[in-house]
Amino acid sequence: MSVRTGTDSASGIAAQARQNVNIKRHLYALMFILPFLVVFIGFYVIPIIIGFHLALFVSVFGTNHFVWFQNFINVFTDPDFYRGLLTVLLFAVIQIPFMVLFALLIAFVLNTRLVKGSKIFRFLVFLPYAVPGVISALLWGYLYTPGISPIVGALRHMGLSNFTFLGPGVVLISIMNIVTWEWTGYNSIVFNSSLQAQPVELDEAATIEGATWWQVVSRIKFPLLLPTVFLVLIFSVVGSLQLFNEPFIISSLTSLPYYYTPNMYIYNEAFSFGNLNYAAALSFVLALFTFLASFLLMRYALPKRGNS
Amino acid sequence: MQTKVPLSSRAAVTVLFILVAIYFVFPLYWLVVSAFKTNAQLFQYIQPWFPPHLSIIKNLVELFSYNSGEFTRWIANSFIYAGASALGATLFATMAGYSFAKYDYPWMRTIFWIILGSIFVPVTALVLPVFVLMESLHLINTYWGVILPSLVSPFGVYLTRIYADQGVPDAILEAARIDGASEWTVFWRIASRLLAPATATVFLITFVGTWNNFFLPLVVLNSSSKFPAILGLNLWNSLNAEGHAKLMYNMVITGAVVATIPLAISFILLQRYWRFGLTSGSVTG
Repeated sequence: MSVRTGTDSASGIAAQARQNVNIKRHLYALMFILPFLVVFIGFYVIPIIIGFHLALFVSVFGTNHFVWFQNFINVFTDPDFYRGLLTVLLFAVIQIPFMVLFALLIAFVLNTRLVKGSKIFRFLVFLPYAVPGVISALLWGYLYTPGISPIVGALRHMGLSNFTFLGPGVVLISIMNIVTWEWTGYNSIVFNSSLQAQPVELDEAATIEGATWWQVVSRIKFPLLLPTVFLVLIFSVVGSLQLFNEPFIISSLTSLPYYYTPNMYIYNEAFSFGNLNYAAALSFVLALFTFLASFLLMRYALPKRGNS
Repeated sequence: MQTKVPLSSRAAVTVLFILVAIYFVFPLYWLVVSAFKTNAQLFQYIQPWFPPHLSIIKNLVELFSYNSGEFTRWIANSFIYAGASALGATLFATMAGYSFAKYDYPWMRTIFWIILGSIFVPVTALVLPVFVLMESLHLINTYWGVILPSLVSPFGVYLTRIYADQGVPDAILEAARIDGASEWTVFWRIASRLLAPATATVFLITFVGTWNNFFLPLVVLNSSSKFPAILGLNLWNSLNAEGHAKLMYNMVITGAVVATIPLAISFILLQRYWRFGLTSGSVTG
């Protein structure tokens, strides 16, 4: 035999070995993601399938009847569902722009060092985020309750004796205030970190050229920040549609309808009225609306890459 | 950097910002001051300062001993739920994120995009189906009923992946492989150390997420002995509001302070990891 065939079989073995290593790597790659995949499929994917399956039935005296999409059709024509949806949309339309502008203001002032002691200030503003959402709602609930609240006390002392935070027209604004208090600091820190990542040369050059604070902010910093602003917007819209903790806690202080927000409707339908099938259909439609809202925002509102 | 802003408007901005700071701090200040008041004082001295006789010790004793120490149990439960969930979720997310970053085979990309898309699935939409699943697994009113669903952290996978892309150089991994280290050893001995900042962030986020979670335990748990602190405080508050139990505003308030302290400490000690989680959220835009 010649030397040639020897090297041939040697490179064949080498190729075989490489292939083995390659297969082994694929297996390791799979092994590393496997634990996550198991819990992801078990407690994310399967529940979605179960929920959908559940939504295709109605339960009459304990026996399930297959009704195709009747529950979904009912949801789409359910005035209570639309009332809840309207509440969270109203909430979103007022609260989100207010909170985002508030957070932007804080971020820009901190970023351009307009005030002294910005480190302490940043910490104080971020503090509410460290408070569990339910506790924030409880805390503000007390601050809205006459008799215990120094705020209501002061307002009544000033002559507004009938003032209430919990009346039918006002309570939504009171809930907006809780959510604003919880999330403004968080969002302003998100904006602030994004601002810190911006190149400093641009606004230094602009300042040397004689640009004012407002010009630097509005012409340079804000346009560069837009992608982050839209990301915050999308997460806020998703959060608003899911509104539950705050109105749920507040409903122990004042009476709110069981359908006040879509998620309160889902909870009450399932656990106060025991109609799991319909609640599952409601969950699906709400998820659909949420997806739709974030999709539309991403598709049409998000600034295109490369433009900025 | 010195931007051109007149002194007068600087002063105006400073005043405005002091008001803003008061808005964010006042409710927490009120909560802490109120933890020093007795039930009667909460209604007698509604002014937001300390009362004549401080009752914090009395409140704490009452808080932790009331109803054979149910609050003590709730806090312990919170640590169990948050600790176990965060440990598991962090381990799984770190391994998966590393794998997605460093192996990056075509078949993995589809899976990664599905996981990424699931970040936008509203978690509350899952709570009801999870309840049905737990019911069929007979895990209603068990610790597992809360812990198992909390092990899934798609955001943790994403965070670890983007961190590993930059923070774990391929050259180091390749050098270890040439030295004969197995893929398993490469991950545990080398990559896991380089990933530590991301891991800490994921742990923090999942710990706080589970500690604060309300909807899931509300649905899955029905006996108060299994409640986490948040759910327990809500129970006391609603009993209070309905006027069933003895008035325990002081206990709800003191309990709220106690249940917030672990989180506040984590924020102060681990600020740099929080900031990392926040910035990685904003980089995606």
